[in-house]
Amino acid sequence: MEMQQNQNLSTLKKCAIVYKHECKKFFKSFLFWCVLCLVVVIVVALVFQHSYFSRPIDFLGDMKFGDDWRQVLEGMLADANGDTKAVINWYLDNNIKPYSQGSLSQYLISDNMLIFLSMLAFVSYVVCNIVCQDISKPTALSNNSLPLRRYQVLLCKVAFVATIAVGFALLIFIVTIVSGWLILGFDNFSSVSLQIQDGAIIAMPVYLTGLIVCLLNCVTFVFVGLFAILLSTIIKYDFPSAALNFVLTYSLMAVAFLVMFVYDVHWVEFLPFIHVALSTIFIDPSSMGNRMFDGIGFSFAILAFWSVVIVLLSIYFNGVKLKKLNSKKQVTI
Amino acid sequence: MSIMQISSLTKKYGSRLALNNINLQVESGEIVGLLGSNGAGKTTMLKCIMGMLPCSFEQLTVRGNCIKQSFHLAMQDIVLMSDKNMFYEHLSGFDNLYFFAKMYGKTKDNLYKIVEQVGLKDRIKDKVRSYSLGMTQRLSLARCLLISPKIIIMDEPFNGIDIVGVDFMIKTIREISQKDNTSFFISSHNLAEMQGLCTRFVLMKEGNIVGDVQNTDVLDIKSIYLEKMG
Repeated sequence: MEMQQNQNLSTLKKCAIVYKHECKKFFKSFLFWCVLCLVVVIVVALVFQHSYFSRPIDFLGDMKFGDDWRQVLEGMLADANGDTKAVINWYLDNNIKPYSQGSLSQYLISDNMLIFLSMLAFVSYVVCNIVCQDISKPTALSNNSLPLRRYQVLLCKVAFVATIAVGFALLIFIVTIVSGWLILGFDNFSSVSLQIQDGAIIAMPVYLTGLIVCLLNCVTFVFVGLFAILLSTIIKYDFPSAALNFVLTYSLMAVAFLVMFVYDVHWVEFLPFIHVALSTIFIDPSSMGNRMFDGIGFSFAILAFWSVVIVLLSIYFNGVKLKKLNSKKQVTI
Repeated sequence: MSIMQISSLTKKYGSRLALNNINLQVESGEIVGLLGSNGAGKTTMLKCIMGMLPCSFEQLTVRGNCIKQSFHLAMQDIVLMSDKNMFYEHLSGFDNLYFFAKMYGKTKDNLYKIVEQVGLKDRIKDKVRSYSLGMTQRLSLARCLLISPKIIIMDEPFNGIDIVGVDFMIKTIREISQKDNTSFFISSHNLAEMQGLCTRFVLMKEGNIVGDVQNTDVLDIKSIYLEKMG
């Protein structure tokens, strides 16, 4: 009877149970509350700092737009060309004031690199902690008794890591919006950000642009999370794995860019790390969004391909690690 | 009815013979004590039975399912419990068990029955980190029982547990064995407790089985042990 009950559960349902268990483990851990508090404190502090102390920098020059913004833009129009001219004309034609430096709008779409980096470090650490906890303690061996194959258990962890990554990105966005609203008022979200595609200007509300940045960060976080799984499976200790993950991600990206530009070697574009800094490549007001369409050959496909490779490597190393654990330690169900 | 059958089980670590041509069978409802000094090959044997170490054998079956060819079928009827704490300490005993219960299609009612059986009803909602070693062992036993195995393998289940805890474990094991006809295969150094628990003893020395005796009221396992090991 009981065996029948067991067999009635599909593999997908069993995977869902493992996934939910992973979530429960994390949300009931001290680490979760620590990270949550840190994220909120850092984001709010940066929003506050940005709003009151940032140096005037704007994508249309180092200037603030006051009530005379039309005259200022018209003055700039004479010297402008190409995309800049089109953007200025768009503002004038639509009678919309460009967002100014120091505003939350600018912050949302361009100056959140500090948050991005700190969150990347958090994602790395959380993932490494979760994976290493299972490998360094014998709890991983209890997975032996699950009616699932090892790779299926690991894939559940991958799904959980993706959830964490998306959760982090959305958390940053929500905390930024809410804290910006509380500190600066909702007017700050009324401005638009512009993207140029094939000469045509696409205007997006700034909170929507912020959301896109957030979603792009999700992809980065997921990739970095997967890389963290691989490293922590090999290294076994959470802090060194997280630190190495963070350093490798950025140093390899820098090296790849260097090799590509200095030595004009283009095969490095097929390596994953160039494609990690998504939001800075996609939406950069200093180039008015042009890099979104004609910048470095950014590709989701390349990132997806490398993600699959990393997951497969993780499955392999996870199997090797568990075999070693089996032969060294005492095991249970 | 034979639950587990082993014939010609051999395991080598390099050139060293850890298990030498082991032949053994465990009947339904039996509580078999596996005795032997350190390095006799007890743990190696348990790991080989659970398919955790590569080994050679003619037959190694659990309810007729070979652990090599039908690993997953065999593992539905056999489970290994160790003295190591393999629980998530920041979760409650209930959370730890409920995960396994769901995986095996068991309801909360099933779970509570087992928890009551192992005497953890009052503390099951507490975090595992607050449990004593004895309670952790009972929790391990509860997790084993969740999959309704036909045979439970235990490696040093009484290690580090106080006398009250050991007494409780012995009573629980006996009760489970009688009620569900579950077999136990227990490795331990603790001769006094094993004498009061097991229905049969298997003695190991240097990878060989050197004795296989049924327990009786008049049997003095200590003297037999000393004689065989000496």
